[in-house]
Amino acid sequence: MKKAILLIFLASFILPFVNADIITPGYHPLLINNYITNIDDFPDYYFLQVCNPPMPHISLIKSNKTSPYCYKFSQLDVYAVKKDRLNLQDFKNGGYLNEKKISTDENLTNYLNGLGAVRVLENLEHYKTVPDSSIEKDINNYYTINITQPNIEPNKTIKNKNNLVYYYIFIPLIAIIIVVLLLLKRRKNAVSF
Amino acid sequence: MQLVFSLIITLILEFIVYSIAIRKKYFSLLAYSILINSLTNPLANFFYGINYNFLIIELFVFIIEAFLIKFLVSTNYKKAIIISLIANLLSALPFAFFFR
Repeated sequence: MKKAILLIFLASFILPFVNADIITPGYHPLLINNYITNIDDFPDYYFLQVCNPPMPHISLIKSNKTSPYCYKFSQLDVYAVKKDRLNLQDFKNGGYLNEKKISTDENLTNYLNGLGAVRVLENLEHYKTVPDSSIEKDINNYYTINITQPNIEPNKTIKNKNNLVYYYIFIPLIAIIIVVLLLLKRRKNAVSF
Repeated sequence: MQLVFSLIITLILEFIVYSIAIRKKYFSLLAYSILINSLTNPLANFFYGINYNFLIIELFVFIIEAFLIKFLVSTNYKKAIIISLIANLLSALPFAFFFR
């Protein structure tokens, strides 16, 4: 009996976390791209994509775009680090920092403080689910960065639509045209008789 | 892909109902089933996608299909309404329970 209570007690703690990682049926994640439009204006800086706890990781931004790989419940920030402060050897593993260095919130803060990193983009949109029937294909956010002040809102957002537009519009449209033509033809035949 | 699957399942189920109810011109009934469901199914899925109420959408689908059955199959209103009701109950229930 005690074992059963203990199991129920444990399950009540574990199950919400299990459920949190499941995508609601009928929904799928949307691709969100975050671009930094003026990254070339800062040749003395490297830019780090910081995915905060509960699943922290840091990666080096190699182009003008953040990577889409960040845990859905993590806050995504971008930090600027002076080139002479960052050891690129730390990012040899596919551009990702060894996770042991940033396994806790405190380690992460210490690591970034140690580099003198400056947060330039805060709380980037990086995870969103939409119904399977949604016509949204992807979201592209364009940010302009400023080393002295973090930017929260994108300067421009472009949302692309997928081919479902054709499914929702053209199939019913073709069907209704055929139905109308069929009924008209039938009526015409009836009148001629 | 899931939407196309939903459309195919729906039109097969509704074709079966039309065939049992009308019992003639099976090829025409299949064509009507394709036409009717190509009109209502994508629109219904679109409105589900923007979180409209399932029952309200199904009610609209039922009414539109009843009219289409009446005029395409050349039957009376009473029969068209009964066919539409059974066809939509049959096609909507599995999706209401298993796919949503």
